[in-house]
Amino acid sequence: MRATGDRVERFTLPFKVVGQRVTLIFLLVLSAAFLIIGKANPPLMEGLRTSVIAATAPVLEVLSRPVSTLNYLVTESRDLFSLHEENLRLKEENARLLQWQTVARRLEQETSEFRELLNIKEDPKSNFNSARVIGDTGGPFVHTLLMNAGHKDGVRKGQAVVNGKGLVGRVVATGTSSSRVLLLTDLNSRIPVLVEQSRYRAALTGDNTEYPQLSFLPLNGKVAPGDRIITSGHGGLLPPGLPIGVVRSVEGDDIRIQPFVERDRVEFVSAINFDRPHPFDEEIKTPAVKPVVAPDETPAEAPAVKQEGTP
Amino acid sequence: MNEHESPFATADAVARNLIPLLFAIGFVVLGTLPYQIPLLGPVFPAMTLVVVYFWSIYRPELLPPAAVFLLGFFQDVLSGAPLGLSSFVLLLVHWVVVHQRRVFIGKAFWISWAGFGLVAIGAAFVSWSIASIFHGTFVAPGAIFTQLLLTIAIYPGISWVFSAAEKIIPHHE
Repeated sequence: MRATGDRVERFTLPFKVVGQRVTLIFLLVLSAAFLIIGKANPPLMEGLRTSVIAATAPVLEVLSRPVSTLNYLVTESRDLFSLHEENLRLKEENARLLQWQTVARRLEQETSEFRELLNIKEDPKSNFNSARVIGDTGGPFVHTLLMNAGHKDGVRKGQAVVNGKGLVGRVVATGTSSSRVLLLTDLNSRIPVLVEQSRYRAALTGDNTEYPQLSFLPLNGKVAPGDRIITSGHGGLLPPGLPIGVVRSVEGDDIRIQPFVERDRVEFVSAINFDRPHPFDEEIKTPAVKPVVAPDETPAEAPAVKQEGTP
Repeated sequence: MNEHESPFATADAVARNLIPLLFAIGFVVLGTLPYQIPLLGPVFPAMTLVVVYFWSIYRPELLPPAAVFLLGFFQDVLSGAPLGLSSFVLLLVHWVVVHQRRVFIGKAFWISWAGFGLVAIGAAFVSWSIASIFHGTFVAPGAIFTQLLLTIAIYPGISWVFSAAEKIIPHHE
């Protein structure tokens, strides 16, 4: 039996080797083809991707829970040691915030009176879907997160994604119950922004480094380290006024932003469903897509905006 | 191999033969989880590279080109990288290593570690070049470099686990 097997093997071996080599070359060519097709026709490859992710998302969701519990335990035990200092710091902060609250109340009152006087058009209302981050995709080439809310939950491509600290990124692909979020730091991320104090318009450009770059600032525009950067709402895709970060360094044209959101601390996020004011919506489509006008609310009800402490 | 094996023994052998692939898939999923460790995300070690390198040397029949391709595909899908990037690089690694495996078999550990270092440098360079061409811009190489160092650093640990696993997989020769 053994001898027959050997003879058969001796006969088939060359074919096997050639077969393996042909398979290998074929698969290499197929990979290259995938790259080229992905570049030429991104939606085609995105469809493929979405369907595979839909199958994997439940596994990731289950596995991400113990990981987050572990993270929680580590943070908790670390915090135990600094309770006293933390308490002092919070008391001080509370005193300061109470002052701000008084200021904010007065300003809110004034603003609403002015708005009434001017009969100004309100920003459209927005609501949001919150979800758990189930994947922080490793790798040096892309900066994205996976979250466990998708098309069936109302998450749509292009929506802004925030957490308690500010803008995380925006949705680039949605599956049935999971979506991919492109972070501000990714190579492909471009966000229209404002310098909060001076109201200069600019673009925030990711380049796969930790600190995205502020570009397209007007020629006479000046920024200094510490200036706050917020979304401008230009382009109508993202709600205006979401906090993004502060200017970290200014070296000639190379202006770097330190985002408020720390990528490794993001556990829950909200995708903002923003009824964008599109100039052609009302002419082309039925009135169903008309922006809903909120009676007396700030632009977005997202927690991010509520936490914005400075007036 | 005896052909009068019980179904249980066959199932057992099949399961053992699947070990490399299961390791590989497990590593891809583990690499995708949101660890809240500062700065880890972009530089998480390229575990699939270790998987493909190790098994291409010691038991190439357990991780055939088709499996390598699917592994790379799965990784690209989850990470959001251009589809085909990892498949291409891992297949290249598989090809190179299978042709040079005689150099490493039965040699001292540091030789296979050094070999892995060279392969990892090559793989990082190729994937960086493809990503740069794909995005039409110069991708910042800092993260790739850190990832490379981390990957080379974890190789001894992972290959130790693999060596232990390799012993329980039946040989076909």
